Amino acid sequence: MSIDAALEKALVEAVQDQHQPENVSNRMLAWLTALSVGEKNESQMLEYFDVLMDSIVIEAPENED
Amino acid sequence: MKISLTGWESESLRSPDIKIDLVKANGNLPKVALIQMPNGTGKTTTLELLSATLNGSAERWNEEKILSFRRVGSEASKGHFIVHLLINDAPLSIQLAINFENSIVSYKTTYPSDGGVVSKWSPPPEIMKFLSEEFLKLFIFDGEFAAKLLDDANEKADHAIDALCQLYLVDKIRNFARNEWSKKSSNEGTKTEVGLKQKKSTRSKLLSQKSKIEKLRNKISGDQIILKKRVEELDTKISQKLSTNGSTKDRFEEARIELGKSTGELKLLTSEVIQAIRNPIALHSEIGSGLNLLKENLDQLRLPENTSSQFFEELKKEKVCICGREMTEGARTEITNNAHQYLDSEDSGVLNALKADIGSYLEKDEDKDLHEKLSDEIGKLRLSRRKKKNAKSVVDALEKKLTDQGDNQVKEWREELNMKLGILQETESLLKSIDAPSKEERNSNVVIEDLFSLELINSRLDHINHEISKITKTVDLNRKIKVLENICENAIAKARNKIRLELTEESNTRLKTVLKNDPITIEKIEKNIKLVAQKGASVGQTLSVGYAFLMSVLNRGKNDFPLVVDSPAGSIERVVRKELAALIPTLCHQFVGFTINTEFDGFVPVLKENSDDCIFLTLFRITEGTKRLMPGLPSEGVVKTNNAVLVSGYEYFSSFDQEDEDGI
Repeated sequence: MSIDAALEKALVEAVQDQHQPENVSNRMLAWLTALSVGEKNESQMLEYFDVLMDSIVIEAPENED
Repeated sequence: MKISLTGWESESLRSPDIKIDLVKANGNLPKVALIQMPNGTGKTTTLELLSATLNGSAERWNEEKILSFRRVGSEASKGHFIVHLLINDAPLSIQLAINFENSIVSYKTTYPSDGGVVSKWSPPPEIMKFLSEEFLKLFIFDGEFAAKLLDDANEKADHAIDALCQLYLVDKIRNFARNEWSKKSSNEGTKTEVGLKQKKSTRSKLLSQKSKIEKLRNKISGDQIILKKRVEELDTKISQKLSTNGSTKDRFEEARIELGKSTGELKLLTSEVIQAIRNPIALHSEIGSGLNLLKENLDQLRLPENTSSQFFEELKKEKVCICGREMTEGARTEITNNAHQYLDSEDSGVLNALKADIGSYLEKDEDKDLHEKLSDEIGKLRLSRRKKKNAKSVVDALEKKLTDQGDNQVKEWREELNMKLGILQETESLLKSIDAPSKEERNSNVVIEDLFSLELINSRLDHINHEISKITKTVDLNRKIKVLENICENAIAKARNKIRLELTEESNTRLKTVLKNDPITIEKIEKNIKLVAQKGASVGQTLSVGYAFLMSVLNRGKNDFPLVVDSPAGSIERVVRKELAALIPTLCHQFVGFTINTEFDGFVPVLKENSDDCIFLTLFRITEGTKRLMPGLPSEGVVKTNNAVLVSGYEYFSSFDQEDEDGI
C-alpha cells in the first residue's frame, strides 16, 4: 500500500526546504509506507528511526572550539 | 488496512434479538447492503450499540445509560451485542455484554489470528486508531456528522482528511522521534549547545597548556644537556688543576682514589642492605619468633574441599595407598569415614600457603642470625659513607687551599660550577613534575594553567574528549530531530492544503451532479467546509455536501472502511436521491445502509440498477400489529426469533410498503 500522493509530494518538498538530501525523503516515505500497512513494534520503529537519523545532515555551528 | 463489517448479533437488548449476517452464500461480502427497519424497530439503538461495541466506550456508561438498553418489560438480567469484522480478511469479533442487575458492562474480544479470546475490549493495535470515537463517526455516518462538517466550531473536515489520507502517520514518526530524544537525552548530564561549547573551551585550554608544557620540556631537556656538559667541563678543569699543582698533587691523587673506591663500595653495600631488608625476619629478632608463634597457632593443615575431595575418591580406586600399603576394603572405608577431617573450605588454601611461606623463611635461615647480619651490613654502609665523605672533604680542602693561595681561576670555576649545579637541580625538579604520573582525582579543582604533569593533562584530555563525543552525539541528535520535526510539520501543512484544494474541486464536481437542480458550491475546506455565499444549508443539502466530501476523501484514502449510514436518503429530494444512489456503489468497498420504506422511492431501485452486488434485508419486530404480516412471509430466506423476523431478498424488501409500516 502506498501513501497519499499529495503527502508524498509534500514530504519531498519539505525535505528540500530543509536542504536535506533525497535519502531523507526516501527513508521517511519507506517508514510511512510500512506504517500504512500496519503497526510496527518498538525495534522495527527504532530501525527506521536510526537509518533516517543517519541520513539527516546537520551543519556544524560556527566557532566550534 | 481493510476493515469490513460481516455482521452483528443482538440478544436480550432493546434492539430485536437477531443475528445479521452480511456474508453472501458464496462467502463474499456484498458491496451494498440495505437493511430496512421500520420506525420503532431499534435502528438508532442498533447503530448506537454498533459504535459502542467497536469503540469500547460503554465502559464509561452510567447506570441510567446502561438500563436504557434494557428491553421494556423484559426480565432478562443480561444481554449482549456482538459485532463481527474482517481486518485485512482476518476475523475479529467484539462482544459488549450488559448485566442489568448490577449495571455492569464488560467486553470480550476474539481475534484468532492474534491471541484468541481476551476478556476485555482489546482490538489489535493496528486498528485501535480507526476504532476511536472520532474516527468511527467517519464511517458510521449520520446527518449530525454532515452538519458538523459545515459548522465553524468544528474541525471535522480536517480530522477526516488527517485520518483518511493518513497524515496522522507523519505525526507518529514525529512523536517516536521526540520520545527517542527524551529517552536518550535523559541518560546524559550536559546536553545543550552551551554545555558542549563549554566543554570544547576546556579542551582548547588543555591543548594549549599541553603544547606549552611540551615546549618547556623540550627546552629544559636541551638546556640540561648543555648544563651537564659545562658541569663536566668545570669539574674536569678543577680536577686537572688540583692534580697538576705541586702542593696538592699527591694528596689529591690519594683522595681521588679513595673517593672512587668508597663510592663503588657504597653502591655495593647499599644494594646488599636493600636486598637483606626484604626478609622481614632480618628486620628484628622479635619478628621471627612472632611469625613462628603465628604458624604454630594456625589450625592443623587441611585441604580445600572443592578441589581435593576428588583426590580421596580416586585414591580409594588405587590398588596401593600412598603410604605403600595395600588398599583393602577396610582401608577404603577408613578413607571414606575420615576424609572429611582433612577437608575444609576454600580459605584453607590461603592459610596453607601462609603456613608454608612462614615455614620456608624460618627453615631456610634457622642457623643464621639474619638480624645480626643486617646490622653488620648497615654498619659497613655507615663506614663506607664516612670514607666517601672524608675523601670528598679532602678534595674540597685542597681546592680551598688553592683558592686561598690566590688561584682565582679555580675559584671562578667553582662558583660557576655551583651555579650550574643549582640550575641543573631546578630543571631536574621541573622535569620530574612534568613527567610525574597522573594521580589527580577526575573532578579535581586544580586549574588548567597550574597543571604541569603531561600524563595528567593527557588524562584530562582523554576524559573531556570522551565527554565531548558523548554530548556531540546527543546534541547532534537533537539538531537532527529538530530538522525532522520541521520536515514533518511542513509536510503535513503542505499535504493538507493540497488535499483541501483537491477535495474542494472533487466535491464540487460531485455536488454539481447530485444537486443539479439546486446547485451548492464549496468555497474552500479549512478546518471545516465553507460554502460559497451562504452560511447554512437545508438538511438535504447538508447531507449531500457531507456525502460529496466523504466520497471524495474516501476515494483518495488508502485505507478501506465500511460506510455505515443511517437513513442514507432520508431528507433528500427524489431527484437528488437518484443521483446519490448512482454514486453510492463507487463510494467505498462496503456500504451498509439502514433505511425505512419511505426512502425506497427514487433511491433503492436506482441503487440496485447501479450495482449488481447488493443484498436487501427487512427486519421487523413481532408484535400484535405485525402478526398480520406473517402469512405474507416468503417461503425462503426468513429467520424468526422470539421477538423479530428477518427477511432476505429484494422482492420482500420492495413490497414492504408504507401501509405495512404504518401498521407496525
